[in-house]
Amino acid sequence: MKGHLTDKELIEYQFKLASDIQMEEISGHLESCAKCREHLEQLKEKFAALDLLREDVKVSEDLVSQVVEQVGKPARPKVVSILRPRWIGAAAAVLIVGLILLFANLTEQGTRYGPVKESPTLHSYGDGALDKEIAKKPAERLLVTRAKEEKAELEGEFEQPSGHGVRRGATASQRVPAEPGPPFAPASAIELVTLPRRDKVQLTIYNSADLTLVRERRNLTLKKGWNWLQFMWANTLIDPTSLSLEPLEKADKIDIQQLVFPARLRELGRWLIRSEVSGKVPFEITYLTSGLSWRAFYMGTLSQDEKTMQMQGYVRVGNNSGEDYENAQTRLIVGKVHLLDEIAELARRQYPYGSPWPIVHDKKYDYSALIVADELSFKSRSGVNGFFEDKELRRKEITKEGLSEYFLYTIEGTETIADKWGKRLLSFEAEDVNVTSLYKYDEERWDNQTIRFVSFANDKKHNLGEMPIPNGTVKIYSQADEPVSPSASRGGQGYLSYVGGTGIKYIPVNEEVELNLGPARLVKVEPKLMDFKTDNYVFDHKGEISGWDEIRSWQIEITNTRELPIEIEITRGFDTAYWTLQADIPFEKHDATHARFKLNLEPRIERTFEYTVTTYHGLREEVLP
Amino acid sequence: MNGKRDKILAILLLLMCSALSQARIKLVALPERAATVIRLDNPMATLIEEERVLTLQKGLNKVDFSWKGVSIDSDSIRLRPLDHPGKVTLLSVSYPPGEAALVWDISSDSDYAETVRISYLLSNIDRLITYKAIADKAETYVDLKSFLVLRNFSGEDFDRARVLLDYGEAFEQGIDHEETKRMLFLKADKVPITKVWTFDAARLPWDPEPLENRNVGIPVSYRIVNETASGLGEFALWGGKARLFQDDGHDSTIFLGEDVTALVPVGAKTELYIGDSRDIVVTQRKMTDTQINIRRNNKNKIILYDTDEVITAKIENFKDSPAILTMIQHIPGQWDMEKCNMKYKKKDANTLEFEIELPARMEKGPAVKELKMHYNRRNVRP
Repeated sequence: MKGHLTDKELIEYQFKLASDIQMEEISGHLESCAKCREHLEQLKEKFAALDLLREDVKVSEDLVSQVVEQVGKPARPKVVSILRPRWIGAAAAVLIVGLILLFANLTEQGTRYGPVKESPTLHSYGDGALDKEIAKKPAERLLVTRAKEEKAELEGEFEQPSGHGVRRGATASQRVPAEPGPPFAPASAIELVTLPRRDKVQLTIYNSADLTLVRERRNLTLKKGWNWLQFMWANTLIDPTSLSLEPLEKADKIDIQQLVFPARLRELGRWLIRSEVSGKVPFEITYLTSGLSWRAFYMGTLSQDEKTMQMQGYVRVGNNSGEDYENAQTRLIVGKVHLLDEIAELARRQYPYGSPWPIVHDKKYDYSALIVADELSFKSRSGVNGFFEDKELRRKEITKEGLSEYFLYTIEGTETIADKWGKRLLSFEAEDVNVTSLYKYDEERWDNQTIRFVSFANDKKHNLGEMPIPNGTVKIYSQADEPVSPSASRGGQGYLSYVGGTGIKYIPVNEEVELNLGPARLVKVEPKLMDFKTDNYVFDHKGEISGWDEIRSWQIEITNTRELPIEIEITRGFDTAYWTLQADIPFEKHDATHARFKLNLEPRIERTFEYTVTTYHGLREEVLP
Repeated sequence: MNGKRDKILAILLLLMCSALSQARIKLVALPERAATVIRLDNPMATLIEEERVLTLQKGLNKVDFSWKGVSIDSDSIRLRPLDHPGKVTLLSVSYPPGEAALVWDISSDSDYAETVRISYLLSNIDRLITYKAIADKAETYVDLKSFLVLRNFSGEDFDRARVLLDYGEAFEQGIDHEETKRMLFLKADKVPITKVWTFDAARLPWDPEPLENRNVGIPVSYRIVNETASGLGEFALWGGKARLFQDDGHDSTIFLGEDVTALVPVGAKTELYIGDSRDIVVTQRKMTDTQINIRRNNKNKIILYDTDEVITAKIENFKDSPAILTMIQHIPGQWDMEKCNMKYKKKDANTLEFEIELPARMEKGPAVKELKMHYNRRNVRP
């Protein structure tokens, strides 16, 4: 090899663009030439420095004008021969890339020494400004676009990269417009850095998994040609594998070619965008994040006669995602979603898609420190108590609709949910829900305690039934018996008494639900075995007992010391499916081994009933039909 | 109350301008807590309801409610406007990070000094009930007093509050954090009692002789019925510790003992165990215990039999006054009583209760009665 290696040769070598023979030659030369080795190291440092976006390059106005002017020129048509040798395409591609890189290098130098001015079309930030912005928003993702201008239009026969792979050359008679190859990520030369605001954001929060779908709309300013869009999510819990970018307009002229997660850079991705248009284009970015959650809970207030209940359903949304969501349309999903990986786990990965070999888990964040930082940052930026003013002066409606196996709650308007904050909203309110108070006694489930239940159905008859009721906790109050002060019942708002709390499962429309309010203190059930005997022994041919009956007489004493009448259900088990029962009150066979008695008791009354159960054992089981 | 910053439940009213001017704070006020109710009717949780007058301005108001150092179930917090319930609306509730606080967004259609009632479940404030009963010398009645012990370790001071149990009149009381107050809650004089001696054959030794000069104490209780005839019966008596004293006839009392009673619903009875009596002695022995009606298998092995059993119990009263001994006997399994010289009440399938009236001791010695039960247990398997 004569003389020293050129920049082009070194770049081709560095990015393995040269042929095997060339690579060997360059490698051989580098071994013997210290000057070329030094030159290569300089180039490597330059590329590495470009990878750090905090060292964004200031752009001179002259350069921008020059670039825009060049973009404005029409692309020259080219003729593609179908008979071209295959190696010509590859060689052309290498040549194109090399020239782009060379140009990039040159223009970079130019911009470094050029006057620093803001771009008139793009909101541009210099190094310092960007750093300040990053420091100001530690928890907010940074969205950066980098436009890479076409410096040269090339003619020739080559295989054209596209978002869908390699586009083969057309027929001889076709005239295909020339397109340059994609720029290399580290060598982006013209960097126009913008921080587009979120125009809209929508959160769809699931309650069955730590999962939220975020959909945000941002207006990005593209240049014609190649653009880099950088997306950073430091200190958040975003799943990078879920990142998606779609243009909302001019989709046929904008090609999202690839998403690059650069080596050695964390919590950062770059989209390579090929655009045939310049100017503002609305984009939608979607991703999954963990850390946002919601849950439902309820408050019920029983009337004094305990026949009706006022029911209020609430949703409480919490944000621990590391991100503030301002004016977000908030939707809540009720339903079980199947996930293969936990989003939080994906968010914590060192490499978005993992690596082929096991890597010791990298501790990514110190979350305790993060929390403090976020609180501080948020308080400093937001209004009083971290809130942004809500312009709505009425209670927000929450619309509900079924979708597939899910139910979707959409909160009217938008919500601002700052990181680490929670918000409670009224989901529904139902007056005069008819309820049935029922006491239950079942020793197999609750030992010797009587349990109080309130039941109702999620249907129209109960002033409910518009939607399924998500699982959650419920607190039941009752209107206090008597007012304790003259103002007590002002505005129909009497004093309350706390009855108890419990969890409720998901209640589909029309299904009945029972709320377990815990042990009843003023209703007691006392079963007494009053008589026991065995009878009807059967013996086999060896003289052994092969069958017998057991006859038990029970006395059940129920005491209602409440001021209200009660209904009680008493379940008795017999440990065998072979039984007959005689009772002085009606009963129902609950299942093979249990019978149930239902009684209504007046206030402050004691009542007793008796039953005799005969259980059949051994051969005596056969006497039953 | 509100001045004790580290203990109190502070309500901070930040009234901010409505929608049009975001950052302008119009008024910061610390409204006094007005009527406060401490409702102690549920032993699982104490419900606090307090009224505050919020100075609302037309538009959106933000009210910051914080409870540093106090354990409140945040999901239980309710706010209800009392003066203009249709015109003052709670829009949403927000929870700031890392703080025991919330912010209410309240819309108001005009400027109001609105009384709101705030309800929440507060932990570590509860009440106990204790009893003190002084029996007369003859042990026929007790003067019964019940005390409410209010314990406040909630972190919150209450200057004045109306305290409510699940029965009885509400009463006004103030209680500070870490303060305990005992208040007379119920006073009932001359509540009839029945003194009860109970010998349970399943719990006490049958024969004192092998005990070698050690007494067998017969448990003694006062039986009280929660009914109007006793001067009670208005409401269930809560469970609690009872201390019993007796008038000694010398303008003083002696301490008889103490016991814990469970909740006594109206109409129910409670028995307060005060100690053991050594003046009543029971000597119980099984005099007969044989197998009868034996059934054997083909290998001549017993597979089923009945028993023939006789139990005697000698009861001696060494007291100078008559007594009624409740004797409880147990016969397991299936049985038939062949003969018994005393009446009994079958409490359940295997429990027999005898009420044995014992006269006072005589000059020649103790009053003696003897129980004799002859019974067969049936279909016993070896």
